[in-house]
Amino acid sequence: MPIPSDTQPETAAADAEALLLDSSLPDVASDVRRDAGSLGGPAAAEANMAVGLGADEKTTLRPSSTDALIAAIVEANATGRVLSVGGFGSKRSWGHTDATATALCTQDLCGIYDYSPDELVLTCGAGTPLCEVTAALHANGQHLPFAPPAWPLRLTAGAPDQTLGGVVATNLAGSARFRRGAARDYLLGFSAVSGRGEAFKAGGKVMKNVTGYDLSKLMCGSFGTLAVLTELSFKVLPQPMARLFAVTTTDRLEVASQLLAQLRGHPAEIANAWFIPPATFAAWAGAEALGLTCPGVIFELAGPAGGLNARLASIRTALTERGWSQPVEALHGRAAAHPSAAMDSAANETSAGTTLGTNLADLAPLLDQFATRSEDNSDPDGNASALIRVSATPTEMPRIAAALEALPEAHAPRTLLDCAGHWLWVLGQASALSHIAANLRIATGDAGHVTVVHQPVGAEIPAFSQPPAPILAIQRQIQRAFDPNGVLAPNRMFPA
Amino acid sequence: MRTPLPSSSPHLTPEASAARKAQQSRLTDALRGVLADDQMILADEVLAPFESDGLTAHRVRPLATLLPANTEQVAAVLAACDALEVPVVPRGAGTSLSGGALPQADGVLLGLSKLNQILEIDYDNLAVRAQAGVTNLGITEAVRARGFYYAPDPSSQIACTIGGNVGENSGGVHCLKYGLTTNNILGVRMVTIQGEVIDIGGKYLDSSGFDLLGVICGSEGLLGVITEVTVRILPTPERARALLLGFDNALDAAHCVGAIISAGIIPAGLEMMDALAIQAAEAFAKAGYPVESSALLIAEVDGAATDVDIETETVAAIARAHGASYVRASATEAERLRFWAGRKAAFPAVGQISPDYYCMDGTIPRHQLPHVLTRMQEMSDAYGLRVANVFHAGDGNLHPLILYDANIPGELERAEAFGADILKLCVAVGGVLTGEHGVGVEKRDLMGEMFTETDLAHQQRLKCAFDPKSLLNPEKVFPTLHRCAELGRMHVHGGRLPHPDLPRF
Repeated sequence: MPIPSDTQPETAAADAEALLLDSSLPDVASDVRRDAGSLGGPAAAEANMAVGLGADEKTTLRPSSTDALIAAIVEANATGRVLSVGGFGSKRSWGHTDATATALCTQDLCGIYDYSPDELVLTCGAGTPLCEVTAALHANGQHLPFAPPAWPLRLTAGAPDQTLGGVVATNLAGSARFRRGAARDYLLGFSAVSGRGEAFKAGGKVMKNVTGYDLSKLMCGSFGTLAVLTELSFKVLPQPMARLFAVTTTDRLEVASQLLAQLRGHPAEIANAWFIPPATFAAWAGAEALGLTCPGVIFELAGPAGGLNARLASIRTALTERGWSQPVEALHGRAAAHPSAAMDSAANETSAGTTLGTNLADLAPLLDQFATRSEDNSDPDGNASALIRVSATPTEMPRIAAALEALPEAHAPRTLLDCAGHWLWVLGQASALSHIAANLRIATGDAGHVTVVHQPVGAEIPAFSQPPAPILAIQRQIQRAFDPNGVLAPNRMFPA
Repeated sequence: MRTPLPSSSPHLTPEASAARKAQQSRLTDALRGVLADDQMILADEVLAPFESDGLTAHRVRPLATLLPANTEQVAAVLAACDALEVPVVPRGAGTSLSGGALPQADGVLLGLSKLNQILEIDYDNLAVRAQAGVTNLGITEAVRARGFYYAPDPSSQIACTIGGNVGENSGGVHCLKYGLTTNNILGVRMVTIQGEVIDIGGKYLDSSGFDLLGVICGSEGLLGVITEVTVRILPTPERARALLLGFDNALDAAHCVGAIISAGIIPAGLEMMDALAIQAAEAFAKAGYPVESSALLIAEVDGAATDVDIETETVAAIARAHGASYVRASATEAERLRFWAGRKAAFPAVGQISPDYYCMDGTIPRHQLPHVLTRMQEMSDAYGLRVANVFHAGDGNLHPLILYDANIPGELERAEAFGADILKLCVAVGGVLTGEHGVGVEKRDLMGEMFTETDLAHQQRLKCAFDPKSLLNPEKVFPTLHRCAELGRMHVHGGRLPHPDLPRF
């Protein structure tokens, strides 16, 4: 395992400070913008080197050590440069973008530093690609239980992967968020450099720890506005042994919502459930391969293979007792998992059954369909146009989704009820995005929140629901505490 | 800044006593019309029972104990304390083992026991909204008949409150599989020190903006006062079975734990006890423990009935392959509960074999267990104090119980020094100071073992964002009390920030 360099933040900070106190340092802030990121003057040239700014990458800072990162942030504090933190850029359209900001890329802060499967803890650099971590875990029959989804990659052209830092900064979560949690539930501890240009750490590298404030939670979903993460420690767990998918037919969201409530509360412990509405089903080319012939509710069971059929039977019985008359059948399509084919082996994580789950979780079928719709080819990068996620009280979802019915037929978005009813995904045309987001936010009210996870450049739709004023005030105070000069893209989550 | 008032005690000077009385009057004047007289406890003899929490070695008589009965009263109390700059120590049931709810001599002890109502049970959304003073077990009892439960189960669950659980991010024996409090709550209603009532979260996943729910959970009452909590409930598993696995040495037991997890099983509970703890628990609870074993594992698997039977067989096979000399799986629910009775009574059982005991709470990387046990035995010999170990083996959370006699002069101090050495050892091997009991006053001065000044300053600035005057539980968690203005200072080179007109927040 690579060992992280023995960083000496105090020394680095002192060096950077000496650099900044050099009287030859010009007021570079305006130069930064005029020259697309390059600094002027000999001291600034040194600063460029210190932060790993290559000659041909003038607009992106790529620190390869904590020291270099500290130098970059100290320099930003002195010059007023605003830094926009990113990895591979897969989530760059998530949140308010500041066109004047300098990109700070974490890709070089990478590597798996420590992983012993018995301890169920993995420590890596924040810039480590997700695929590298996933491969290491899968080789030991383990995984990140919150299953970071791949949909950010499908939404943004040119991003080959995601970094773990990005997964944490956006508090990413897979489709089974209600049961398996999000990044917040598995980040045990971290090291970072705050907007003050100081290296600090919080949490630990053990499974159970309440020493000091749980700043790991604060980092999850802070979108790089508080600190630049450098090292992350995650709780990891064994992969489920086998999985089974089953379906029952309905074309009404109200009915599906009640079914999902039954499934959530059943002791056979569903791993996840979805409702595929008729319009989405009709446009979904992959449905047939899954053996899915009608719109309906799909649910997943995970555990020892020998118990899956009995669990399905007990759910079927419970639904029948509640008056549900439609068949509840295991999916036997060629891409679906058959319990007899999925024995107790972690190797089956890559089997066809998982492909179904992953496809649903990633919304890939929906997105693929969407990308081919001619009227939406308005994005010159070929990106999907707009994706919205409503996270709300599950039983409120039919009422919230009804807000979309007011839209003219031509603007009717695709929807998918995900995460056993906790999330409603809305895939809409860019032209109607503002309208859709506003309608959903009004309908959701205080029963949840609406996130625009992807929008076309320049659309300027608020990515996040505005929290109530007292909460927003606390949030601003926290930002000032970690980044008093606002150098870490302070308006990314909530525009000033 | 505040001038600390001396604690009420027989040694209080007439001047100090008068100052204390005057401060009490200011407080009661401010709250007249908000709290009834019987909600404001001021008399010395009535204040005495509030002097300590579960860490009884520390006692401080508060300035006053206030017992609000609803969120509005909590808000009025906090606004008054903020205006008068009186510190506030929130307390649920007072079961903290780290002195997290130890009163302050110049401060209000805010008791939340009157907020004891379950406000809403929503089975369709698997959520229960309860006032902060409802007990942990009270939530499970309210939903048990319909086949649901609340997963985190700290040993004190019969008494400890859900508000206190949020404050401490409480765990329990089931947290390897089901997580801590932070993974099982959906929202809180919280009152800030300024007296503002805010709702964070609800009956849905995550919130817009920073994860304030996440940082409030485990903040030990330093950021706000929780008055309502919305928890997630789960369907009660169809079946649960426990196994007793006895080993002739602790190393084999430790390896067995790793092997169970490597086999892809996440037990609902996985506990380890050493020889002294086994013997004490068996003598006390007659749980059927193999008293000749050097180490005992209690493993529980739960879930769908067929899955549980499959996994029980697997765990038993792994244990035999790792040298278990005793393997017994529960055949009935009564037997399962008996297996647990010994473990759950481990603390009082140790209390039977020693006049006093001091319970520690570090976490270590599991592979360090043999080394830590060896070092602990060496320290035990050096300090001349026995130690019994119970261990949440699945997640590396160690509870050494140091046996001492407070009536022997110097033994309490020796026990505390021994305990501090154990925690330093935990940090030295890559672990942490506290797995679930909190820092409180007990481990406050050890924080420097784990964190640098810069680390701690970043934590303390979070407090400043909520409580700029540092009035909420101010003597807990952090070894040095910094003024927020001093923490917030940041040198701007050359005294200028370019483009001061740019909106930055």
